Amino acid sequence: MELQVDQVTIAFGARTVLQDASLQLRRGEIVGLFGRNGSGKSTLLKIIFGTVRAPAAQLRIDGERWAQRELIPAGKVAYLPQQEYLPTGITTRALLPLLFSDGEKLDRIFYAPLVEHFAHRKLHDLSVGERKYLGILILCQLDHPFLLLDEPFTMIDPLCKDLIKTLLAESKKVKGILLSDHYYDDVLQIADRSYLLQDGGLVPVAGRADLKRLGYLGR
Amino acid sequence: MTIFWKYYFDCTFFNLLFGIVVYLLSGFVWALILCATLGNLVGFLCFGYLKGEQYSLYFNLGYTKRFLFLTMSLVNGVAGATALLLYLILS
Repeated sequence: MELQVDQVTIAFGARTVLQDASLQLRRGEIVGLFGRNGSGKSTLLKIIFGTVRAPAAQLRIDGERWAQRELIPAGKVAYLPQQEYLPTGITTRALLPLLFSDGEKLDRIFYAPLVEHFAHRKLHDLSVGERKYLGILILCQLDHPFLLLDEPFTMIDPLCKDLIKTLLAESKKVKGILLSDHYYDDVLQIADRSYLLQDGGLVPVAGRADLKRLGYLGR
Repeated sequence: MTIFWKYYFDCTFFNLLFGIVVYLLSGFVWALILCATLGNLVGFLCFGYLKGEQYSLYFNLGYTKRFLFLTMSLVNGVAGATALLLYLILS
């Protein structure tokens, strides 16, 4: 299964953020997305998710054209936003049955590493890292074939980062994953290929040397 | 559908606060009518302002804002009309 995004152009006021950007994401791969602050990474993810409208953007899944507004009801793309998205006045144990009726999926989350330690606590009592880990665990259990992650490694401790990497490596067997984060070493470690978002377009990068050459990292 | 009720009760909490204010100002019947109509918009706007980041959860589960708002309005509209009818019959 393949997600193809073309002709993504968007401007905020006089500032063009994305200019004819194109991206391909296949099931079975992790694609890294880099870019300086304000370069349009999050905007691109939101356009693919369907919450920011880019009228000219063309989205295709296996060659079939999809309108942006169709993607959310169709459950094709899941998205981890930068900010926390789970309700906080509820325990993990109470929240998960509201999200999944499939006992197998519930078990996969409840028996995932660390979850038993915080499942009985309300989400507002969890650390930022625990909430983000739980958020990613939930998204990985959805049936959506594509997963977009905005800063999954930010504010995460090293142990939890390793758990997330393992989880994503496992999930990529059935999903295509696009992730954006400034922790470039972590992204490069798990990504099969990567892009740098620069001047509104996507430039393929092979590794740290390319990121330096293109000015994302200092020389 | 289960998670929809979480959204519904979160929005309805704000709607009820609005209803209490209307009740104090204009009485029970107006509170009921406005909770079933305008109150949905109040709940929707309050949720968006105070808990808007949670929309990502609903989007990920396939619910659009339009679906959530219309379904909530339908539920409250039917409940409000039923309660109003009962009130009028009993009084």
